[in-house]
Amino acid sequence: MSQALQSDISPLAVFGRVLTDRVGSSYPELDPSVMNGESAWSVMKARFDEIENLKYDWDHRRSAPVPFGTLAFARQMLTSIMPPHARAPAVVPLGSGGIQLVWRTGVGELEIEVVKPNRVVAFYLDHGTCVEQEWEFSTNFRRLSDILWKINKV
Amino acid sequence: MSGRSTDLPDFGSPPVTEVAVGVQFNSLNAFLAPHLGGVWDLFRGEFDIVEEHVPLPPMFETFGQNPQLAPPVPFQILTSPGSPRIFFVNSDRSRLIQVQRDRFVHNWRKIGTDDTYPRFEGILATFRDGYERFARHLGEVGIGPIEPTQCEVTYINQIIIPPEMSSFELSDQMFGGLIAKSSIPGLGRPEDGRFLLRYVIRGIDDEPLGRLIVSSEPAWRADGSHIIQFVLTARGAPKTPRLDSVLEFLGRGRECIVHGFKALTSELMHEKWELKR
Repeated sequence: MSQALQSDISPLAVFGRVLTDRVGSSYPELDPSVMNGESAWSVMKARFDEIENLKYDWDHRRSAPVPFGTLAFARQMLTSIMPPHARAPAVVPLGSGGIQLVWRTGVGELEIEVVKPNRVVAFYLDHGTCVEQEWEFSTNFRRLSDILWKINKV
Repeated sequence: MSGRSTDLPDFGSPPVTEVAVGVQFNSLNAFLAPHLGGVWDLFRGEFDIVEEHVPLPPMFETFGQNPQLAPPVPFQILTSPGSPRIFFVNSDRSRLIQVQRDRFVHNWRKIGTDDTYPRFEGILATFRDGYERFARHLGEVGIGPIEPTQCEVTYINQIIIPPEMSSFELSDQMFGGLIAKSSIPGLGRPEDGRFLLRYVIRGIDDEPLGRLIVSSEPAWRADGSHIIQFVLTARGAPKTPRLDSVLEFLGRGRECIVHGFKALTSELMHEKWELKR
C-alpha cells in the first residue's frame, strides 16, 4: 500500500505511531472537490512559507528565525479561530522568534502574538467603545474566535 | 501513577497491538545529528538496534469556534531539514524509543501472537525512566532544558476479520448501535465503512485540555490478514512543562481511552475480550 493512501487518514496522525507502516488503508484517495479555492488561507500559506525560510539575522538585527514549531502552532490556532469569510491577517515575524498576526477592520483591531507554542498574547482595540484589552492564552482561543467573528462581520 | 485505578474497565484479553506514549516539546535547535550518539549511549544495552526515519511534523490541539480540521489549503509546516527521527529498538523489536529534535516517544508493539500486553503502567514506567534520562543528558551537554508542549497516548487495536464476515459485518458487531442505521433501499448494507470521532477532554474547571480522537477503518497487515484497525488517541497540552504535569495528562488520556474503548464497543466483543469489570 502506498504512503499516499496512508496519508488519506492524516487527520488522525499520531506522533508515536509506527506500526501503521505495516498497514494500508483500503480507501482510494479521491478528492474532486473544487470548493476550497483561493482564500485567506492561500495568502497565509504563502506568507508562512516565506517566514519558514528566514535564517538567523534575517533583518540584519540578529533576529532569530521563527521555529517550525511556532509556525505549526500558529497555523493550528488559526484553523481553530478563523471565520470562513475572514480576511487574512498581516503576518509579521518577530525578532524574538515569535510571529504576530494583525487584523484591522472598521470594527476593531486585533493583534495576536504567538510567542511560542502554548504562549500567546493578544491585544484588542474596539473602535466602537475605544476600550483596549489584553489577554494571555495557552491553547483555548475561544475569546479570539468571538472577536474575529465580530470584526469580520459581513 | 503507579497503580491501576479500580474504576477503570479491565480487559483480560484486549485486542491491543501497539501502545505509544510520547511528549512533544519546543524544538531543540542545538540538537544536531552528532548528539544522537550520546543519546544512544543512554539506551544501549536495552535498545541496541538503531533505525533512522523521517521526522514527524509538530501537532497541536487548540480550541476555538471551529472544529479541529485541516486548513482548506494544504498548509504543512515542515520539520527542520537534517533532523531525523531515530528509533532505538530492543532485540525482539517489541519495544522502542523514538527521539527527534522535538519529540520523545516510547512504543510497545505486539510482535508474536503469544505476546501479552504489558499494561499501561509498565509502558509508562519505561517512558518516564527514558524521558528522565534523556532530559538529564540534554541538560548535561548544554542543549536542554526540554519544554513540553503536547502529550499523547495512542492505543492501536487490530481485530482480524473472520473469512466468513465482511469488514462491515465485523464493524457492526464491534460497534453495535453506533452504525446501525446504514442500509439504503435497493443497495442494502454498506460494503465497508470507517469513522472518526473527536471528543474534547476537559479539566475540572471545564477548560479544554486536549482531545480524544477515535477512528476505525478496514485495513490489512503486511502478513495479508484483513483487519479492522481501531485507534484511540488522547492528545493535549500539559498544565506546566514539568514531568509531573506530562504524566498527569498521559494518565488522564489513558483513562479516556479505556473508557472510550468500552463505551464504543459492544457487549459481545467485551465477552470475547474478557471484560472483568
